[in-house]
Amino acid sequence: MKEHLNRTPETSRIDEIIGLIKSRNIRGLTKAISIVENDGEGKEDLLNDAFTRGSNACITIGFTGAPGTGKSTLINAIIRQYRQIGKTVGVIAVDPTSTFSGGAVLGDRIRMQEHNTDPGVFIRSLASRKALGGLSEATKFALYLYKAFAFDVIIVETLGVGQDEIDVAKYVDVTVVLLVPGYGDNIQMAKAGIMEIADIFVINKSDRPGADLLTNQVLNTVHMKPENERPPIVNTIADKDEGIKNLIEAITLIRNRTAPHWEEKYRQRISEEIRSSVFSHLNREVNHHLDEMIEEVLRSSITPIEASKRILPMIGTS
Amino acid sequence: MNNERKIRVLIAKVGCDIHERGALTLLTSLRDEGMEVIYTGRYQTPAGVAHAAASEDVDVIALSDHTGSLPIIAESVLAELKKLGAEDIKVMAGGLLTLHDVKDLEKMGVTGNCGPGTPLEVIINHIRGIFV
Amino acid sequence: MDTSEAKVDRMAGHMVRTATQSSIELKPIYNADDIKHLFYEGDMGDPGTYPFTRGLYPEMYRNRLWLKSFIVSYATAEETNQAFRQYIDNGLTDLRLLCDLPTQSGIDPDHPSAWNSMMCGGVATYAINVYEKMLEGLPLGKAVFEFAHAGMSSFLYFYGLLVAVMENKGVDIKKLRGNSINDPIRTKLVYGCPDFPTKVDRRICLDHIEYSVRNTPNWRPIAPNGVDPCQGGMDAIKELGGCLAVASQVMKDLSDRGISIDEYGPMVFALDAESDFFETIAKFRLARKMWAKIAKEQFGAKTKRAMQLKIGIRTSGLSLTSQKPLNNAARVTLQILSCVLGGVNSLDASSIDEAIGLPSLEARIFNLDTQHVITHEANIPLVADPLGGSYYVEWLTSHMEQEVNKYLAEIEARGGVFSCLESGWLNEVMEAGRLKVQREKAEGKRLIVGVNAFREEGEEGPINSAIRDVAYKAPTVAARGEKVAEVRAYKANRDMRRLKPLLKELYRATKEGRNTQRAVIAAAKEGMTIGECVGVIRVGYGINYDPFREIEMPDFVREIVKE
Repeated sequence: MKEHLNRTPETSRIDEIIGLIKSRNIRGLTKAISIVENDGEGKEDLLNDAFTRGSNACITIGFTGAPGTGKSTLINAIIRQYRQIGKTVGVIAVDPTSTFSGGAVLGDRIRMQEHNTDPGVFIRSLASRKALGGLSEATKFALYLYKAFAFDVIIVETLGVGQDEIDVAKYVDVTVVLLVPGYGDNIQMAKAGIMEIADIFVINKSDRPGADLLTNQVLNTVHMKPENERPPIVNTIADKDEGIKNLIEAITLIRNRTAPHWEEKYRQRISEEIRSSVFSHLNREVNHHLDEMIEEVLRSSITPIEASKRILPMIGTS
Repeated sequence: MNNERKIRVLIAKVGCDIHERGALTLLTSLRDEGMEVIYTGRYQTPAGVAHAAASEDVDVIALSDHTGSLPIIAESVLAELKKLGAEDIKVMAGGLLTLHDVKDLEKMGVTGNCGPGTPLEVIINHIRGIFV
Repeated sequence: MDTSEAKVDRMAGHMVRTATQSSIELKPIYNADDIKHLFYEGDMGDPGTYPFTRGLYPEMYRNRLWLKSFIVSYATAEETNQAFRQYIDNGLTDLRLLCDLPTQSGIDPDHPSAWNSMMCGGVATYAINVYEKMLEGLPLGKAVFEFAHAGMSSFLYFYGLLVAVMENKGVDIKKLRGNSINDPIRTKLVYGCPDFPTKVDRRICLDHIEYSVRNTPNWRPIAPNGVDPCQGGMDAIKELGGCLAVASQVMKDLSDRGISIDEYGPMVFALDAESDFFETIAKFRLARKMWAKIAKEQFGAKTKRAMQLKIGIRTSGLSLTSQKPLNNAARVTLQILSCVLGGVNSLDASSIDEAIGLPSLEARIFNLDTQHVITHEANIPLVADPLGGSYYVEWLTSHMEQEVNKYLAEIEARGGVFSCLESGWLNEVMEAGRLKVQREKAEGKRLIVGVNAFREEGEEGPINSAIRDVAYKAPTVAARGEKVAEVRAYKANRDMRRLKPLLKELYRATKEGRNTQRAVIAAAKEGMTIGECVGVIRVGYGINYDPFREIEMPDFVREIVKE
């Protein structure tokens, strides 16, 4: 078949990659992500190693915002700010895959060019692969690798569309939801599940008319929460670098706020990680028997409920 | 198993060339072929393109340019790839190309160089051909 | 790059479409019933009368033919100057000035990001010395100039240079004729120009217009551009709708600066002559009609001038093919014909070798000759609006008006044209249009002769090969290196004691919200480069000096900011 595509990593190659990651060589990280994304051989070794060595000292931030909210400009400004105080930054840009061809256009490079040549900044676009169990699963594993690479700050960027992207919030310390004044669509979209996951709201392009209205709208959706748990609202004008310092302060504050409950949060995350891995494993196992069962249901010999019961004992036998 | 490794392509534009249509057409066409495509956008530097290619672990960089400067651009991108130890990433070029340019490019190891009007299937076959 | 071939029987043939290029479904025949809702007065009117559907002037081309123009741009000022002189001798009346791509992005040749596209697409017109060379010996008070650059900084700066050169030569700047595209939507939508953010684009667009209205009354300081969005994927409806939206927005913004539409005078649109013959003609007729109505009804125009829309044309570069380039002669001829039948004011027609490289002199002369054949042999321009009253053309014009109005209403509902740009909606619309065309070509629902149909081995003979052989050669590494050295030497030899206060005035004017155009002219005379102009305005706006974030602010600019 395709020689290059089959470049199966042997044990020695996995060791080499682990070695490269240990010495903080970007090519090691980049190859490791490819293997994990492709569900390649040696994937589990890589991830086990990464998890063991991964540090939780870093801060992981999820940024969620629709197109037009100036998300990339804002992330650029944040990166610039972190770089000024000497922090290294890793970015995971999450993009949807075309369901029809399996191909994907991974777009977020476009606006991040400013940091393209900075060795202290690493940007990687992830495409969701069905077999990997979706975006959140891919992001979860990428986070292992990024943590093993010991970035100071890790940013996960999502469009916030669909449950899968919302689930990403489970794996990061702080989730920032981005809104801009003037677009009715924005808050509409935001109502569909995004508002609940926000630790911080950013109103970007806040010099525009409608900023007050938007602030009010956001306040209306969060006012039921107790005051000390209410997500702060930060105004920014990303293209003028305004409000960026405030945002970083807010991020640090939120992270410290959760610090006393850190162990509890960490337990939750681990439980979520085990659970999601079991489900994605199950999903794959079920797929092995699915066609057969569909045929039976179509032949009217059994019902879908009966089919599900028949699959359960078969799991792990193939 | 069903998760066959996807071909990853970086479509890149270096310098101030404003013509984007070729890059955009290629972008969607390669996606429709099941590849993963990253587009750098316009106004990039050679170092930026090389870094993006290395961190994204792409298989191919497709340089697009309509100013007639492809050999100059390719040469500097190759040099930057070398600095990063990422010479395994293949480079191809498309856009405004003279026969002379194509010869210069091939000397550098840049293959699959497509002038104006190249049918899409030729480009796609070239990319797939790299992995045969 | 093109799609695979559709199988169409070469000899028998059949139509594959029932709709225009912009997907307007057509019946096989139109009659009086289709236009009974139209009134001659009000919907058409005689040429020279409101709403100018049939043309701006009573006798149209009998009095004055359309202006013939080209973008003339070579790698050096001397070559470009030579070419201008040659074209003027051949009947060219309109000079389209362009510069190389880095300059259009607002940076100087010694900027690190300039290297890879330096001297490509035109002269590196980094400062007044280059402009003086390029315009040497040309009739500045008589020529018509057009600026079709990409970045918004270009219009502010190059208009400044043109005025500076005229003033230095003692030519009355009131004689300056021509137009700037100066369209802040097109610049971001199509080119994503890095020089300024949109809000700065919008401000300097108005600065340029305001200064020009008060000082160079024969200069049209904005020409909303539909050509480039159209080439980017917008159909005829959205092309025209976009121009009308930009023009309306600018008129609103100008009234905030105390300039009425009557003071502003006639509007100019830069429109695309596409391959669909009748749709293109209807678009031109409709553009005049719709602007006249908007000017009168929305902006209260009282003078005839202010209701008149002048149409400048660029024929579709995208329609040209590198396969069988001889076919481009047929395409361009039809496009020119649609312009003449549509009553346009100026015409920049593509050359048949444009899909391969920069046009050769011979191809450009052929292009001019085509226009002469249409005029003097075919006698097309003898009668104004010869298609007026045609059931089909009148129906199409009227139908497109409804569609354009729907599009304008949608833009309005989304908060106006700038909101539509910044939300990314315009981009989505353009991209969807582009993909639709790509899909139709792939499916054989849109045939491009010699590309996805009528393409057989061995059909190209010596004529086609000859066209292809006129290859354009990009500037060499050595030539680029010399240019960098030249700029550095130029910068080092300026009188900084004179330049610095002028840069400071530009910085202050920007910061204090005063008009920047006069400050640009004054500083340009003392050698301010395009890169410095962009940098100082950016700093005045509170953003970083270099749009590419690659170079540091020069010390003299740092000093100005400190003071």
